[in-house]
Amino acid sequence: MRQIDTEILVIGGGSTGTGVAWDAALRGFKVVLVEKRDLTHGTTGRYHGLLHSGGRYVVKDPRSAKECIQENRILRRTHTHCIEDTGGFFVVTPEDEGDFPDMFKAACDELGLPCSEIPVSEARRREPLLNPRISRVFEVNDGAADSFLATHATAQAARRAGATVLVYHEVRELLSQGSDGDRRITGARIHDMVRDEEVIVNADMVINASGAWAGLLTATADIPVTVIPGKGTMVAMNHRVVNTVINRCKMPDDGDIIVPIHTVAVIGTTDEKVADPENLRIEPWEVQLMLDEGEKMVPGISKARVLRAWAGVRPLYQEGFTGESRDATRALTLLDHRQRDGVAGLLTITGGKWTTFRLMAEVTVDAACAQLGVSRPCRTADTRVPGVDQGHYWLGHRLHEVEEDRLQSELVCECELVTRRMLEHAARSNPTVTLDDLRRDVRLGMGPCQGGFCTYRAVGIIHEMQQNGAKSANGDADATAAGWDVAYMQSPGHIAAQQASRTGRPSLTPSPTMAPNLLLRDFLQERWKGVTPILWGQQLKQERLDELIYLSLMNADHLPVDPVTSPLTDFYLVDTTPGAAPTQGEEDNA
Amino acid sequence: MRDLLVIGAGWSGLSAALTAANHGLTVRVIAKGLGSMHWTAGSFDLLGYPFGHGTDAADTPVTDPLAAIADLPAAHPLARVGQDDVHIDAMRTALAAAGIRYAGREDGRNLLLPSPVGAARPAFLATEAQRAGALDRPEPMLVVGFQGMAISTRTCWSRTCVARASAPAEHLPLDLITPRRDINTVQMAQALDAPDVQKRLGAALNRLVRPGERIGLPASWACTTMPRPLPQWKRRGRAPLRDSHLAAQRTGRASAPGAARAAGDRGRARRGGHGGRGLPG
Repeated sequence: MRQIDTEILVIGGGSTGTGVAWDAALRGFKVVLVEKRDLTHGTTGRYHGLLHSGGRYVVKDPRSAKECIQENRILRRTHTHCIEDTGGFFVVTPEDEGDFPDMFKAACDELGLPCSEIPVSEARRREPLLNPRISRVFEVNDGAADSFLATHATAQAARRAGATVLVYHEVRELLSQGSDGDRRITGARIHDMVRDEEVIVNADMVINASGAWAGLLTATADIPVTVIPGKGTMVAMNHRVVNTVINRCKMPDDGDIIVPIHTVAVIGTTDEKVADPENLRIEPWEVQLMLDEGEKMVPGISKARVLRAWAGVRPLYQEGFTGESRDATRALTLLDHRQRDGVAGLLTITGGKWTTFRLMAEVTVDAACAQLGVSRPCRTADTRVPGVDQGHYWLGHRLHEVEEDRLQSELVCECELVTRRMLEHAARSNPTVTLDDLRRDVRLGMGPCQGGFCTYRAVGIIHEMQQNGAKSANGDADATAAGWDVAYMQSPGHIAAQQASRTGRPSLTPSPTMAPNLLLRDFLQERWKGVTPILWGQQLKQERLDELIYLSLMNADHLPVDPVTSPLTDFYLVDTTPGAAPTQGEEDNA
Repeated sequence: MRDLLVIGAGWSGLSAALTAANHGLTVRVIAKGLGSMHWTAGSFDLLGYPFGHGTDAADTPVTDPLAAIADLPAAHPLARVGQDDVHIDAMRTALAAAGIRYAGREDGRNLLLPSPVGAARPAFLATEAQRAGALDRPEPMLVVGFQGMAISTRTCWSRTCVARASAPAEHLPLDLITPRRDINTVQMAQALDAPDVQKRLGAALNRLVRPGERIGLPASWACTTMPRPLPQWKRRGRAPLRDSHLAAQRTGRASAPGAARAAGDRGRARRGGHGGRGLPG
């Protein structure tokens, strides 16, 4: 059993948790962050990727809108390279006419949200596929955010400031001292999922940033917190049918947005109250609804190739709220359990949006300072995370670098233009347990073939690196214990240049959870999970091809049975028995 | 006008066409594209696993496929044909005439061949080069891969099936064949057409191999060379073939997804269809 002593323990490796770790470390606290899987494995990695202008909430939820307006400005500075400056339109379709558009414009003006009405002809010139029956268009500064990269970059910034970030470390229970009325949380008992060992973290202050899982966590210390888990289902289309975020100009509702992100366009979302944040079913009606609603903004979109469907769970919170999750506030909520429950040493931060994660962290660490009796100002709004010098993301950047640096022959994943060296770099420089972790790092397997051509190549590369590691005494560190070096993770040219100066073969320390057969099986299963809800048309043909490659040609389902499983093997399982309800499409963020 | 029109260019279509042609009929085969025969491992598979799924029994390879036909449910296509009516000799003869010799085990049991990721794959008939790699043969096998090949799975191979066959796995440097750091199997096959490259490879293999050992090398399905045999096939088989497939293969590398959204689905299918990529193997 390991013991770690720290000042602040952060639980949850999503945008909020990494943001808190970054903020607290910059204020000089000794910080440990634990995440039960990979960073962004929860809701952060399962959203459509919108950087809110605030427009969505100006009428219905002005507090949340104000938070978005402020944070949109800040994140463009602090996380520049994680954001694509797409801009956004609020469009009035024939169904949306009435009072709302004028209310919307007035609310934007009142809250100070830059918003201008532009001629429909101008909007159509910029987005030719927009519905010609749209009558009004308002332009706002929405953007598209890469929540995988942003969270990793925040984690790297936190580490630079001295924080320790531990992934695949699951909290089993919060530890407390004292009796009712005088109780204090003193840390947590944690399970290291990879090494299968117990870790006790003792902390002056524990911050619960576990999102939709927040109530499950506080329950281990008998503190009731009722998160309203609002499931949102999203569908990724194969094309960037639009290059601007398109919002319906109406009250927030199902299927009211199309976000162009990286190589795809995501239609989102539903909002269904669910009981369990872990096992999410995607119902056929949800996929159909997304396509039908998408059709109202971009006619014909439902005929395009659907890549994948997945769902994430919003960690909504409203004290005493019993209504529909769609109506619960999106504003952030900080629960100070000393005031609320008489339990010191624990704060829960929930609610909010990806766009407001930095603010959520600031508010939380302010409260932690207050409880710890110190005064240290927040520095995150003026601190840029590593990699911002690359400027805003733009769609063509990988293609440009691959062509510029003649990296064609290095491609492991042609769909997403992932080079061999990007993969090697990510596996060495970022904690890695499954290929799914590498997918979040470099977008491996996220394109049209959904892992058909890259999975076996990636497995071969990882295995080769492990063999090199086994041979050489001075191999790189254990992949699961690696730190974060992600600033240029998405940049094939930069990594090629950087690695050209390295000597020796790329290597990794062999690990049982990264056995080749296990990597292959897990990743195929993970990708399969997200295509099961959308198996028709071209994607059905694609899946048949993938089936021929892996099951017929390679006989991958009869590889020697490995007793080893990864911490995620069970999570990837999906019941495809004919007649069974469609199951959870897995995370994606496009 | 012809006597017979056959729709589909898979094994069934082609053997029907061949049988009819051998009996003196004039035949035309039409097919939408090339079908999925490219995406097989190149062996004749009769029955590799029992019918069913998910149980240990269903995941145990069939040893005697002809005998196992009797155990299949009545609706199974092979059960409907019946074990006495499985005629493979006609195709074997036709392929032998084209220079490809298929054979199976003497005792009629399934061969167990190594798949590119190292799984044991049951097959009924296979080419001579494939049979040499059968896992149940007694000779020790040396598996040779090429260090640094982007799409190589040889290393997984060595970890799984070769470990079982207690055969060593070795890597040769890729620059033996090409100065490029990473190439795909198709480019590798093309490079291996050069006599001096073959000579270098032969010499390197000689240094690795011990007497009595078999050598396992990555096979390449050179689909970029398809444009050469295809017109011949077209003439002989009188099968119309869509030229778009040839074009796709020549076009080669996929472009960035999304970059060509305006090109629409047809353009994308051609550009992003992995044209020019060799199969693993």
